[in-house]
Amino acid sequence: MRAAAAATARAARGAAWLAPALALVGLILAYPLVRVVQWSFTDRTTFLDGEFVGVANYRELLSDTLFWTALTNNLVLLLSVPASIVVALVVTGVLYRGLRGGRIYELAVFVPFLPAVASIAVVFLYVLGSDGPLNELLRAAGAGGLAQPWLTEADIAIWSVLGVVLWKRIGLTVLLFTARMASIDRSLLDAAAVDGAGWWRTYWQVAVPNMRGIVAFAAMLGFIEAFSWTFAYIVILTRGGPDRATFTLEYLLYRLQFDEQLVGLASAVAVFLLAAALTVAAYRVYSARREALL
Amino acid sequence: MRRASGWRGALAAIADHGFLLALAAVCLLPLYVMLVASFERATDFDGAALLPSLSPTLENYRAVWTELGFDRMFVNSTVLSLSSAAIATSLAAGAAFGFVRLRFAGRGLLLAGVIATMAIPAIVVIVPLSVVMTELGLVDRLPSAILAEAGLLLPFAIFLLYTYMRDLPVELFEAAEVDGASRRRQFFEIALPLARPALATTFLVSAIYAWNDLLIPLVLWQAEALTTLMVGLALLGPSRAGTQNVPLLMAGATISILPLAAAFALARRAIVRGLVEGGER
Amino acid sequence: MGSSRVASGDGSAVASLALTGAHKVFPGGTQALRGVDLEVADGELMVLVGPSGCGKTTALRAIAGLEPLTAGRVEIGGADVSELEPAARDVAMVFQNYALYPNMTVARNLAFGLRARRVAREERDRRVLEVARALELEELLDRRPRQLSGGQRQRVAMGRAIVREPRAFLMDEPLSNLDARLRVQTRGEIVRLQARLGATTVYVTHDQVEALTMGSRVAVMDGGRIRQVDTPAGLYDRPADTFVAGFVGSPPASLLRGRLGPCADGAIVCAVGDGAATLGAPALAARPALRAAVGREVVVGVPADGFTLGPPGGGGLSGTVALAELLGAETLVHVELTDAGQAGARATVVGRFGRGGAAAVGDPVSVVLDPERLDFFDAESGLALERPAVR
Repeated sequence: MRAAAAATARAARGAAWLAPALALVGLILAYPLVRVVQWSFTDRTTFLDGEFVGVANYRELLSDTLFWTALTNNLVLLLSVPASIVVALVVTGVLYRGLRGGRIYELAVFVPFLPAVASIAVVFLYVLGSDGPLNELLRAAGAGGLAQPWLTEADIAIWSVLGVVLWKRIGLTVLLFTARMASIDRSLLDAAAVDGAGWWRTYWQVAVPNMRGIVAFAAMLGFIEAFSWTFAYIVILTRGGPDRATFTLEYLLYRLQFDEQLVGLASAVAVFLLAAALTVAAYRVYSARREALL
Repeated sequence: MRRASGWRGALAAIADHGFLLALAAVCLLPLYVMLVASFERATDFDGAALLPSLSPTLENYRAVWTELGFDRMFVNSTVLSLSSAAIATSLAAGAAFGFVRLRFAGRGLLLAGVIATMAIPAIVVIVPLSVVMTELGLVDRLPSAILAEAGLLLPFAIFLLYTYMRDLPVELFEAAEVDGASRRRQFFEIALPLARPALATTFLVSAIYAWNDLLIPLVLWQAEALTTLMVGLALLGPSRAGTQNVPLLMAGATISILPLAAAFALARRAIVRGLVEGGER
Repeated sequence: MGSSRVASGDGSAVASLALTGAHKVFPGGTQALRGVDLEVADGELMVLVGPSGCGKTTALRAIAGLEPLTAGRVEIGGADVSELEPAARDVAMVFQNYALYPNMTVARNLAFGLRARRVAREERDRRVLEVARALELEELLDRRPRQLSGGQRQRVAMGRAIVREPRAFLMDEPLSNLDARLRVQTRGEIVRLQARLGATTVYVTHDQVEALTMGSRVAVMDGGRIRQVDTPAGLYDRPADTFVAGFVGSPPASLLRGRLGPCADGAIVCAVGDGAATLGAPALAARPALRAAVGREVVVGVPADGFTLGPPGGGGLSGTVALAELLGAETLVHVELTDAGQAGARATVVGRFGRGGAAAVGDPVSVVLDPERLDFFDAESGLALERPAVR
């Protein structure tokens, strides 16, 4: 009896360590998560609590061209993932071939990572303007024909945003890959060299296969960004324009909620984004279990 | 690593350097033109400045700071960044310790839950979050964005600190237990001091994230007095004032980046470690 | 260690220890303890010895409270402490890797347990200084563990335990990380310290030499069970089963297959290999259990001083000298016997002899067993066939 009481008291004291953190996570993440799913099935607005409408919101979204435009744009931005990985792999291969001043290049490439998306987007607003530095540079180099209204032409705009996303992501990816590369057993590479393999063959066939884990991690980060963090880019670079051509799902959500006050519809968009987030969450838990962290 | 010798090697070296140089240039140029433009006189500026001005000025910085309210925004960003990072780091330290040292039913599940919530982005919860904050009467009050940011930072912070504390030798805690130390003492006198590098990293990475965040302060701190730098830039950039006065805008952008540059210069190793740690696992 | 007297508890501070019916099953199914009963008297130095995986460390941790028992009791000073946290049991533990707090100075390491128990500052400082002096740690008080040598760290670990004046000391292979010379030296110091403090101590080691030289009583463990608890002499002279016989001693006894058969004059002959050993009636009088075992297969334990070597055909077991190891004042001779092991396989007897006179490698010899020195074990259970305590 006394033992059981003591055990419960101990458990209660133990809970104190986790309680504050878990409470905050519950308040900010868990509880809103439940609500957002719930509201996606209602026609709630900022002013009316609304009532249950089943999948009406989803049906409305799926039949709206704007939704599909947004989804397509997210997928375009998703292209930054394979692009950044390939470029980063090549950069890592070049850096590790044995180069003087490699660290400086690493640093330079990493610089784009630190500033906020908002800060950098503002800069690119200038750089990609019709009379901005990029077009000026092209004209000065005699390639004036290539100069475009990068952010204001419907067909190009989202690709310009992709360029900015890619620009920002390369540095982190290179950092991750070089860190992993540094921990690869030297003797593997030396063995290949002794076997007569040139650097690039060694790199692609010996080193890169050993980097699967970090490549997967980089891909996961990129995936998250393409489906959750495009908001800041769009809000500043294009405002969803021209003519709503660069809407993404996050921006659509924001406009639905804060411009049109359509909470239920916005929640439905959120659920789509949640689905993407959950696949990542599942992967995270899976790999944590594999690393025996759990 | 391995260098081919002779002219073949020299050619390869030139190609390598060329490639990296081009890449580095692409990476640095936007920031370069940002800086250049920020020192241009607004009257001299004609759309794009590729070369540093011959008569640079600090007028843009002064104007953005004193007339556009960037001084106030800077303070708000600092408050948001440091408080949410501090709250997240301290709560996470306790939780990580609890996960490492305590054994209870459902521990694995809770830990899996924490790892899973790392993947939940702010955009998914922003709608109910803003409603909750309104219901609590906290919108446009300091705690709202700070708590929201801290809540978003917590899962990753717990994850970082947990993986670190987990690697501390169990024997140390067992020795402390046998010696009669309470869990509180084990936490403050053993776990925390030994986890110092991880605490620093967690705090820095969290602070940087909160400093850079746009969405939360945009939604929860809408009052003008609470505008942060990122919100200020987001409002200014696409606006008429922004497009017409690029040097001003660039000065504002530079101000928003400076503290990060300083933090990176001072604590590069800690920051990089935090980013890589998330990936090593 | 130093010559100044360490303040011992007045004896009433130390207590007896007991494990009763201790079972420990780890999640995953490993059975570390299978019903362990152990009693350690007040002020005694009890050594737990056995091969790795035998459960000795688990038993120690169970006493400390670091490993809750699946079944059974832990008693300290006669009171059941099975449900108490380690912090509440008032025992001190010295870990194999010392577990010194890396972020604290030696002084703070020593004082930690006292601070945890809220001992007043003056008292605390006094005790720390006293122990530091006794262990020659005074000059190291301001250093951090990483600045200390292995031997110094070991002393700090001991000091941390001593300064608390606990009811019992638990030591988990505290010497195994030291080099051989330091180990031998420290071994003696620990024994002397324990005697001076009069502290109840449980000492775990895998080294049977260490166990036999240190303990007033030794518990031999294997496979989660205690095989025998006895004085060192008792373990060597009267092993309780084949495991103990084959574990204790330098070298331990050699184990051979044999069969007991009747002989004239009420004697018993034991056929081993191609030879035999005869126990006459007077010797048998003291070993009644052997009579009951006539006709059965037995395992014969031949201690290293339990046989002599004779020329081939000399009436003993025939064999060949396989190895002769010169140990300085003595020689270890390994003789390979035909047909004396399990299922007719080869077996080796190892004997200790004085220098000279021992045969050379390859010599055929005859192993003459001394029947009075032999131990007999049941072939199936491995348990010793009874034998009186007179020697």
